[in-house]
Amino acid sequence: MNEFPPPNEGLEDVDKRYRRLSDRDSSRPSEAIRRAVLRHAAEHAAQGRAQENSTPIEFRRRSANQPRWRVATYGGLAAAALAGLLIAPHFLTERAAEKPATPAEPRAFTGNVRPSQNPALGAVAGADARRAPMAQGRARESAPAPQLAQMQTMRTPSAARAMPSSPSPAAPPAAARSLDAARALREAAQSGNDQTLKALLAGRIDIDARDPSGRTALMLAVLNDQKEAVNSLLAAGADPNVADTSGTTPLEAAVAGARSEIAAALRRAGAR
Amino acid sequence: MTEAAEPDEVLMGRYARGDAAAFECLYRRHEMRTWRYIERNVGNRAIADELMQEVWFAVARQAPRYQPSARFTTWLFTIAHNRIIDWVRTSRPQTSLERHEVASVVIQLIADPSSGPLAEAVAHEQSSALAQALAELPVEQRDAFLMQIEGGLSVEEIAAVTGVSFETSKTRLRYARMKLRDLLQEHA
Repeated sequence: MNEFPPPNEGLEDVDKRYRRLSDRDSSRPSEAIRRAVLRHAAEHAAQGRAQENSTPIEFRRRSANQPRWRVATYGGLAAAALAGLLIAPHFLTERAAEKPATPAEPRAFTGNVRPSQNPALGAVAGADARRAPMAQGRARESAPAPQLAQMQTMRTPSAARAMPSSPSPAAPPAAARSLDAARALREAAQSGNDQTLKALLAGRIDIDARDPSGRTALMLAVLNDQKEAVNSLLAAGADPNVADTSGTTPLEAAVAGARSEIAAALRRAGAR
Repeated sequence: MTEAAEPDEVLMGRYARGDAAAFECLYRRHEMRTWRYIERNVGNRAIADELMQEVWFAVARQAPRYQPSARFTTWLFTIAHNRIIDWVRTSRPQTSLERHEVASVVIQLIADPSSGPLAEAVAHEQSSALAQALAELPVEQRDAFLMQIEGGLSVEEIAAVTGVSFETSKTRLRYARMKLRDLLQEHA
């Protein structure tokens, strides 16, 4: 291309000429394509309607108000409440008993994170626990309390119980820890919890791990309009072109949702 | 308001709520412009058919996520542009070399015989000239030009879809029109 802007003379006629020639071109998509597209669309529409119709439960229906169903409902609720009252103290006492044995509670994050790279998260179970004392100290100094509290809630009860201060055969395998961390990352991205997100990103984690619908943390951040999370994930190297199982890319989702700032950030990162 | 008069965004909203007729209306409204954008970019009818199907399948799947504040055609052409880019990246080099040949054969096959041999020959020649002129444009210029003339996208929208600056888009459009003006001179 030369340095000077090209002249504009006669350029208005180009569009007219194009349209005239284009009108003579009788090529069009095949009828089979049209049928396939419309059938596919009708199937999706039917699925959407079915989902909408399946959710509400009509309590005003006569059968739902029959006395025998009322007895069953109230009986079930009472049984659940009783079970809750009996089981809850068991868990409360178990947690209270664990506390003295785990002086550095905040380190107990189950994600697949190296303590040396992520002081905010502290040590993890298994082989990494050999380095626990140093990491515990750093964790106490730098980890913000709410962030750690939230990470605690992300753990499964079984994983929480399997986190003593020394290596244990009951510790979850590395793959399970990695899955937990990936899920935690997606949840943080979805809810826009930037502190947790950054702490997780500072560790070794599969940033592009997908949920069952094929959505990455980045995709979930886009869908939930979490600009900061999108920026953090892109800065940490998230792939902006990972499509979900329906083939939707994060950029397409951002454009569909009229999220122009997010779309611009994705494009700057090379999204298509 | 009849379906035909309803804006694209309203039709998409209706489809997202399960109205298949709204989708059909949208499809018929944008079928030819999407088709021409794809077919004239890839220069191969069979591939254009395949990409056309992929694009509209994606529209149907993504409908629940669509927000009416997003302009439908911008979104539609973003999807189409992405599918073309994916195809360009994965296709073999010889595909583009066959472009003129394939376009010519396709035009011969689909020409309307009822219009008479002379009209058919003229139409064939003109369509062929257009396909050839478009094929001679650099990919980015052709893409920008087709996006504007078929999709009605503004320079800003083209810049957004293709991920380049406003000025770059504007320059691409201007160069594309200059080249087309020269290439289509004899068909004025």
